[in-house]
Amino acid sequence: MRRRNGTFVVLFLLPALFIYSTFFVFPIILGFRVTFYKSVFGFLDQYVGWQNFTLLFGAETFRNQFFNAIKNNFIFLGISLIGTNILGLTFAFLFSTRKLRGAGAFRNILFSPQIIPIITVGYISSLIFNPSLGTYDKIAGFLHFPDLFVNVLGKPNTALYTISIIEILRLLGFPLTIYYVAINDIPTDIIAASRIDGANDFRILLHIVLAMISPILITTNVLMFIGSFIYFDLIYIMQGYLGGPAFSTDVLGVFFYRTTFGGHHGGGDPGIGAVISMCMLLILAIVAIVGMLMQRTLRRRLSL
Amino acid sequence: MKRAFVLVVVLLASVTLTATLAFSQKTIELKHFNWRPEDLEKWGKIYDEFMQENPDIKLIDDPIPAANYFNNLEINLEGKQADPICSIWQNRVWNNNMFKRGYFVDLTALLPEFKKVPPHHQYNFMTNDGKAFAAPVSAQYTGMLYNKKIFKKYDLTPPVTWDEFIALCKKLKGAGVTPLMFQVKDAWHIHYAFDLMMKPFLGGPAFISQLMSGKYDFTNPKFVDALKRLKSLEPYFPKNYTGLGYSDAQNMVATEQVAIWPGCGSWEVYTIKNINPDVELGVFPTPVAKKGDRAYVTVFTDQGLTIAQSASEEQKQAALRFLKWMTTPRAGALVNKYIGFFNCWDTNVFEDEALKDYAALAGKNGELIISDWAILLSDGSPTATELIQAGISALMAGTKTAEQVAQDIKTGLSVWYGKK
Repeated sequence: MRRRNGTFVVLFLLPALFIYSTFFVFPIILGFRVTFYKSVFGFLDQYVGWQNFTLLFGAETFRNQFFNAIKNNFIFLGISLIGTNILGLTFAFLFSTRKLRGAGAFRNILFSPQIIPIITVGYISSLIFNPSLGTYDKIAGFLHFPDLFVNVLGKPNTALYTISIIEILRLLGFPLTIYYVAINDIPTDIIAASRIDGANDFRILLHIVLAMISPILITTNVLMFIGSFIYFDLIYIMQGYLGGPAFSTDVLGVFFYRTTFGGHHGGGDPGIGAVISMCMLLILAIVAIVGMLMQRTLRRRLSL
Repeated sequence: MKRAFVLVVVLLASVTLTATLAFSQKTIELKHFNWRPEDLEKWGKIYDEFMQENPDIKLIDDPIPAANYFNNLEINLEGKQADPICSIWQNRVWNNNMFKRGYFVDLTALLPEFKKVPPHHQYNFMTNDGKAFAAPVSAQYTGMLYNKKIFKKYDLTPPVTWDEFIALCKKLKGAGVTPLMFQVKDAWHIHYAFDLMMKPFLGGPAFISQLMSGKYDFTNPKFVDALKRLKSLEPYFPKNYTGLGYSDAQNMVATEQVAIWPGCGSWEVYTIKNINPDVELGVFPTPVAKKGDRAYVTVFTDQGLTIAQSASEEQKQAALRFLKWMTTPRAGALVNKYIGFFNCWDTNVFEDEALKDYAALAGKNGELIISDWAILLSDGSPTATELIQAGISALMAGTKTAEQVAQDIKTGLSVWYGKK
């Protein structure tokens, strides 16, 4: 009886396994193979062993750009993740524990950037921050902002932070919606009991809500991490393939694109690009596994 | 009787149908892949003239925006689904690589008209051993575009030397006009402006041959000096120019907010005139180091037509007829007239003032420098254009000095330059 169940399980899993292997596992293995070749126009041209690795980490230009891209990635990630989480949690908590007028509409407005294609967000943002045409600089001039806050996308020390803030606004709807649902799912008697015990809103948020939605917190953050880590679209649209100005907005996604496909005049090296994508895969795999383990222990602890 | 009548009608109908089908099958459809959606109507006019003489061929323009054109073209050619006629650009290295891969039909024997084109316009579309693979169609000049109304207003004449140029900029700035246009955001144009203004200081053909030899040292004082010179123009650029892009440049020139646009290409004239038909534009030669020096002119063979190897035999024959027709001075005149581009016969006749000035550049100062030099160094990764664009972006943002930028370019190129 048990053995028959076993065969059925395997049979049911086989199609999914087949599709998954073909479209995910196999390309990754092929991609790993590309790292050992010098490619010309997408064809594997000649076997070069570890040369692509030594070029990426040895040649000064590539190495500097690579670590600069990693640094920018983490700054961008850090700001957007921290920002969206703080704002998302605060808003979700407020909306679900209080009856606020217009909360629904406000939630929809916050979610709307998620529906607009990223390219549109990029173009509109570039227009807003354009020094000669955009609203931001006109307001900055009118209110006499200090020099640092003018022409924010054209300065190396402000460009990345500006884009991170734009990303917070764009991404906010996603965690907000998930946290809102999660907080609503918390049994109301727990919150009622803690209020009777005298806890104020802040303590409830910090100690009870966070603890109870922690598995969902982890999952959402892992998803946002993966999305932001390979981020390319917005920065390519707004700052070009060089991640300007002066590589200050160059993130791994843009670096990968530039190295693989080259710039306006060609000259890409897909072999080195493949090495970069393997490194990105490694980092993402570690983060995903750690996240999954944390989530599992947390679930067990909460016995959900 | 009725049955017979129906039979006759059906017979007649089927005969006419097959006849029309047979005739319509004789129209060969050729799509032309290129990067100029803005020239859709203009190419249409040229096609119309060709199709009048060749009614069995139907030409269709199939452009996509320039930014991703070459990546797209590569993918299409590899996948053997490229249009029968594809435009290629001045990037000789790329062109040669693609031809070596067997993507383009060898036109050496098929297109004898190619040899009649002036030699400097053949260069980008042939291999080192003389095989031709594209029909040269258009060329572009870059120059110092200036606003004639502003010059007249402040009583200025086009400068000849660099010092006169700086004095003119100072005068304009003092009068409250932004003298020069420069943008850093759209990296591809940075090099056109740099290359144009610094030609007199970097040297002419000698400089180019040094580059091609694989032995040029980018940290040499001449090159560092050129970078410093570019930086010294910063006070004359628009406010916050590091955040401005190419379309801002077009707009600002068209709305007369700047007086001079260094590095403006001849392809921009019609675009700017479209934005503002009232603007009066002219072009003056690049300011030289000292009086009497020879001014070099940047011209490059811009667009060439290739026949994709993946097209059918019938399409290839038809495409060849079009290429033969295009590689004539008569078609060159049509390129002038309809598209407003320079042709590859150096017999350019324009009505537009600015384009006339561009054409006059070659006459006055002679020496033409073929293709902007950074493109010559794109046979490896990272390419020279990438490094120069990134370097100048850092220079103008103030994060690197001219010496550091030159060193960066040298280090970046050292991965492959001079090693082949």
